[in-house]
Amino acid sequence: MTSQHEHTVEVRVVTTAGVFPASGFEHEPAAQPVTVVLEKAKRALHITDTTNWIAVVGGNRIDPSLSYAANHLGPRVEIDWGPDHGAGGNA
Amino acid sequence: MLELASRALFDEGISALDEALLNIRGWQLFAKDYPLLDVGFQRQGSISIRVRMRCDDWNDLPPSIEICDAQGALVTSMPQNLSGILNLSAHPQTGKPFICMRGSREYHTHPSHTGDAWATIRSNDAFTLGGILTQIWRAWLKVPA
Repeated sequence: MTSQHEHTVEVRVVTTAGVFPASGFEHEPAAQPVTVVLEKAKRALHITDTTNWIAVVGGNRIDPSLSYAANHLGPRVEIDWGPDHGAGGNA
Repeated sequence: MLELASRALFDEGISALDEALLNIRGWQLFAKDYPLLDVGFQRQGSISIRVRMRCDDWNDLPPSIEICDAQGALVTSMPQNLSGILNLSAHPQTGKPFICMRGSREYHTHPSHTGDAWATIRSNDAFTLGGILTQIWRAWLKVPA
């Protein structure tokens, strides 16, 4: 028998607009796409445009369209979410 | 922009640069007093470079940005060019190396880019003070240690 704990992950999203949730962690199903919590963070932190933003965990870029399990994440996850590197202007 | 309004926007922008963010990214705040934001990027436990952003007239104007070494001296060379965003030639207005990237005052005032107006991007979340810092930081991460 598997426990509830094995099917959820604790998640926190860190951005330069703030941290979601403001304290503690969100509890999310391990099978749920990461993008769900990113959308929650976006609303809570009043972020309007995340075009070209990337999500990074432990220095590795993850695919938010995949689940925590598919991204090999858990049981506690801190997602660093923000714009990708700037492009040179070739001045 | 009135200095009071600019200062308020600056303070709001840096208020989210809290411990959680600094820890996860290995950033260190050297200065956060308007109009100066000075942030060090750590690699393997020590500060490798500092990004100094002068934010007078924020956000009518983008920040003027300098890349400095750990002691705060202006960097004049890099092993690799921060993914192409650090231009080591003299900027026509400052005479110094400059960050040639959208969101840098030196980019938007360079004759090659005056058509790329700051006003069109300044409300984008990627071009907050933290967003601009993030873009430079991610470029720096691509430079091999």
